[in-house]
Amino acid sequence: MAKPFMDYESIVVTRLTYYLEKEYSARFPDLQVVTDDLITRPSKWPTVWVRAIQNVERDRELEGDRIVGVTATFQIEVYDNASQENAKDVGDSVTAIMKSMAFDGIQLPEKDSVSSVWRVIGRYRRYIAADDVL
Amino acid sequence: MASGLKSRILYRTHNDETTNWAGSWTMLIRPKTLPSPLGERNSIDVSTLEDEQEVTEPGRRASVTMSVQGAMEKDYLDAMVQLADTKLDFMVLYGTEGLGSIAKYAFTGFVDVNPDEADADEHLTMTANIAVSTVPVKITDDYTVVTTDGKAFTVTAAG
Repeated sequence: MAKPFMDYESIVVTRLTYYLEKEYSARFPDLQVVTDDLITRPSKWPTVWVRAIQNVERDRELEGDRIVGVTATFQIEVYDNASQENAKDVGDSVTAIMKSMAFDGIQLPEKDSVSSVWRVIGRYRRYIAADDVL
Repeated sequence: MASGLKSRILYRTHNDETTNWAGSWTMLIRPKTLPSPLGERNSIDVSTLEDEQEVTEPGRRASVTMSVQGAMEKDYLDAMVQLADTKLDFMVLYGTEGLGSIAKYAFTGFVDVNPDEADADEHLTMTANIAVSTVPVKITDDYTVVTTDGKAFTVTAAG
């Protein structure tokens, strides 16, 4: 039986965590990257919520017994309880990190403050083949 | 299997010793697509009147001009204009780490560049037309490629 497709979600989350902590350890010591199913109100600020929302298999071979490639989509939301600027700043860094892995980005409209929580949302998509190096 | 991301084409001024591809190389263009450096091999008809269907033997590859479309950026455009009519070595790298882990091909040729059509909804592009003068050789395991900035590359013979 063919081995499972690479665990690119772990790679993305690990890389986001590493580079965001490196960039913001002094300014935002409580910054966290989470992958929970549902967030009602983050426990720390800023919070970067990473969700793999769609993975569509592509480029099937006639043998059909292995996954050759997928189109992967992540939605990443940044929450902050201090300002929209903080959320946007971290969101811009998230985009830069995702671009370093060649993801296409779509920035969704910024949400107004709800109960003193500011949010920035981005969706990132790319085709990933089985032997790709992210 | 790998996607085409970070497939690259590098150049340097021609080295007389064409079997030695080690040295310093520079990215030619930031490509949007990268055509094959190799042409299609034709077949030669060797049928006789006794054959009930056409019988062939392998012929030779067609010559190729690689039309590489990429981002139109002043530095790359100016460099290619300067290189017109200069004999160059080219190296094509395949592999998503951008260093040719899947395949490396090297050949000698010439480059000519033209700006593409300007469009309101797309970024400016240009096309590097590369005349392939020698048969591209596959050197994947014979050389190692390193880069620090993705523009300048150092190629060394594999140990």
